Amino acid sequence: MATITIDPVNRIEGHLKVEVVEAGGVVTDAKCTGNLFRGFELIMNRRDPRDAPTIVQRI
Amino acid sequence: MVRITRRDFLKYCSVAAGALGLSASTLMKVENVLANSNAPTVVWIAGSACTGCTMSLLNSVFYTTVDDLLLNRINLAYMDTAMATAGAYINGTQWAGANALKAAQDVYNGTDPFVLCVEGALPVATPPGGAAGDYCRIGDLTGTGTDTVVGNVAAFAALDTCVAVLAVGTCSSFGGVPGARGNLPNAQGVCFSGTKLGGAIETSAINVRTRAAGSIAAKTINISGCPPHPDWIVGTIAHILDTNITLPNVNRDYQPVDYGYREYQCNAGPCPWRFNNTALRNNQNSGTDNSVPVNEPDYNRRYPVGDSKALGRNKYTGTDLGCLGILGCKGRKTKADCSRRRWNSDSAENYGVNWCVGSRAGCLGCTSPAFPDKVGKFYTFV
Repeated sequence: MATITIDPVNRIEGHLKVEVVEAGGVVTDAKCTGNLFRGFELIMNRRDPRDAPTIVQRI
Repeated sequence: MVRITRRDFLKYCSVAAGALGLSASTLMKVENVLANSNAPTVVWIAGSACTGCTMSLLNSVFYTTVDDLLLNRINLAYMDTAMATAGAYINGTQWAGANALKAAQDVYNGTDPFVLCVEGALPVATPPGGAAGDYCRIGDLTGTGTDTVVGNVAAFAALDTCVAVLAVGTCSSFGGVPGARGNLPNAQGVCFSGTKLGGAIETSAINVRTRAAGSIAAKTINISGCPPHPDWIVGTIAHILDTNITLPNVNRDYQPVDYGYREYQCNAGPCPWRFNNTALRNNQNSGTDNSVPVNEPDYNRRYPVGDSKALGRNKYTGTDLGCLGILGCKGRKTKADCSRRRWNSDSAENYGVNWCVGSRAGCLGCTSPAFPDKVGKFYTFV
């Protein structure tokens, strides 16, 4: 009965944390946490629509 | 590192070589290449980033390729986008095996000087039900339980062994796109928040304005750009290494003047459509020209601060390629030298293939502290 946590996951773009709970070699629970929120929808609000490709390509 | 065991050396090699996708057999050949023992350690922490700055660095060609940089020039201790190990915990305690967090904690607790590179903006707001800075978490890099990126960057930057803080990209320099108007996490740069002095790590505007000795502002360099040109990043790192950890000269926005930020785009290249000069334009477009443009009567004339004399004069009709200022190009207000060294060069010492204005889009002004909100509308003359 062990909890294995990978935080941060490497070799990916962005931030991710993975938790796996296993019992006797069988995974009983698993969680992923996306550790980053920037809110691009909120940034695009009230902005010239032609800005969309410029801003959103930075996601 | 005065004395390292063979096991440690292979571990360090695997971290660097893992970034290049080298297999185990190639790793044996890497053994013969010793990382420069005098090179300061580099720790690269990514915040609210898109990883474009990392991608740009990985595309470095002009000064050196990234494998030469990682194996021969710098000792990259931690970079979670590129390293071979991840952070690992068993039942809540850190795993004692190959662990990315241990690499970062060794630098934090060690006595060797290191350079801290920050990519991505730093969010300082408090989400509901969380703590300040919880909008971006990275893992316990210091060993003290801090896992927000703001906390970790602040902890690393505050150390005396941190000799330089390189804010790579407009996001970590000035806040950039994640810090644009309307963003909820209140993402800021290291020393600046947009055009305002004072950022997430160096909060005192006075320290930033005076570059007060002993403050974090004194060791911060903003290599801004969205993304910054790989030459600007590599050039600044090379300057720090070659001069035994002396920081390059910076302007008021903390950008290194010798590595891409001396002049406005119209003057830096110079932009060929500034003169309506066909020979220069053809030279740059065909990629045959590396340095001095030909048949340029007023090449040595320096236009006053960011003023394109061709603005509105070269009409954009048919095949006539005129100045794009009238269509929203912000090059005349942007300190960068993309017009000179362009992007995507194919071999060392060769300038790049093309740049934004060369492909007939306007310069967005992405190195500017005002990017993206205050440079002005992208497609209108402002």
